Amino acid sequence: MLHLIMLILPALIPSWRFFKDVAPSPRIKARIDGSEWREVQRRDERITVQLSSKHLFFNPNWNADLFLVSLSERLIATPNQERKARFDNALRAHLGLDKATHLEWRLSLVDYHSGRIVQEVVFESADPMPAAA
Amino acid sequence: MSLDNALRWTECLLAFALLLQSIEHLARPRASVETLLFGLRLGLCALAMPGIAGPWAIWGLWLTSIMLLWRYDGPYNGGADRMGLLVLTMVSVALAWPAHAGLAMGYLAVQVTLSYFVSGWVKLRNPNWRDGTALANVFRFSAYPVSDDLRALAHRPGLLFCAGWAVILLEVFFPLAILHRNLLALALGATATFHFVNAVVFGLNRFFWVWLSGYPALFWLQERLSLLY
Repeated sequence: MLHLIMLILPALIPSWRFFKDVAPSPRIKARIDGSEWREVQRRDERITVQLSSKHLFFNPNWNADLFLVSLSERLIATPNQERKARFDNALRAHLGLDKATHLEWRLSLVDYHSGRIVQEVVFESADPMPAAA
Repeated sequence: MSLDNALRWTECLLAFALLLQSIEHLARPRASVETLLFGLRLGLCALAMPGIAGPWAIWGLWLTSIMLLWRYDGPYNGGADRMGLLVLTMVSVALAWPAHAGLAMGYLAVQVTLSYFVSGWVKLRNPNWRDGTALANVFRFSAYPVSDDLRALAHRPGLLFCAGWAVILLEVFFPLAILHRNLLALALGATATFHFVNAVVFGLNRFFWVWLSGYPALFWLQERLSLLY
């Protein structure tokens, strides 16, 4: 019950601190059955007016991508077994995979230092995790 | 705008925003419990928009929002879901206790105002936002730009400096718009344009529709406050 209240309260008394800082940004790579590693969040090279207009009303894949980014941020902030399983399930659903498929994933953080983009792997699916508190 | 009108407009706009979200969820691979929840929400939105089921459709949407918050262990879509739940809660309260509807809509109007003011204030206090670096980083490496060619905007410091300051000034001075109806209409036109650009450039379409649903409360509050001076 306390957990549920803690989930609802930020909506009723929001902090509204959008983009206070631009924090390092998560990237997700996955490989299925030992194949090549691939970036999960794919974006178009360029976007057209027609596509933008459509996406204003209907953009399910992009919002699903953003949900994975949120889950990876939560996992990086507070790593535990439950969050890892939740991320793994969401990624499988995103990729349309069942439980039997061998899926490996990596989370990395992208940042900008001294005039260049740097990327560091912070989690892998094989990493052990503490149990949820 | 009367309180009843503001409430009805808020219900309609919010139900439309949640309808679009439900269609998006139902278009993707999902678990059967999600099919049930989003199918139910789709039906409730269809009832809430014309006001067919009275308050029950709104209360049903509130309940399913809580179930989804639990299922996803937090919001599915960050600030958009939080604003959606805030609007839904205030409309639910207003419909449950009509004598306190004004308080609920007033609280909603204050929170919409704060959503702009606070996010402008935290940017104003951050030197990276003031010199344009923060916005350049959003384009350079954040997860948000919807296409690769948009990342090139990170190399347009002059443009980003101006755009960053335009956003900061709009957000910080937004509360002043409550002083006059025309000023409020102008400010809400500017903020709606801001959300529209965010939807096009960063794919934040859900923010656009959900924030619009908070605007009738502001028009109502402005009219109430104008009676005081």
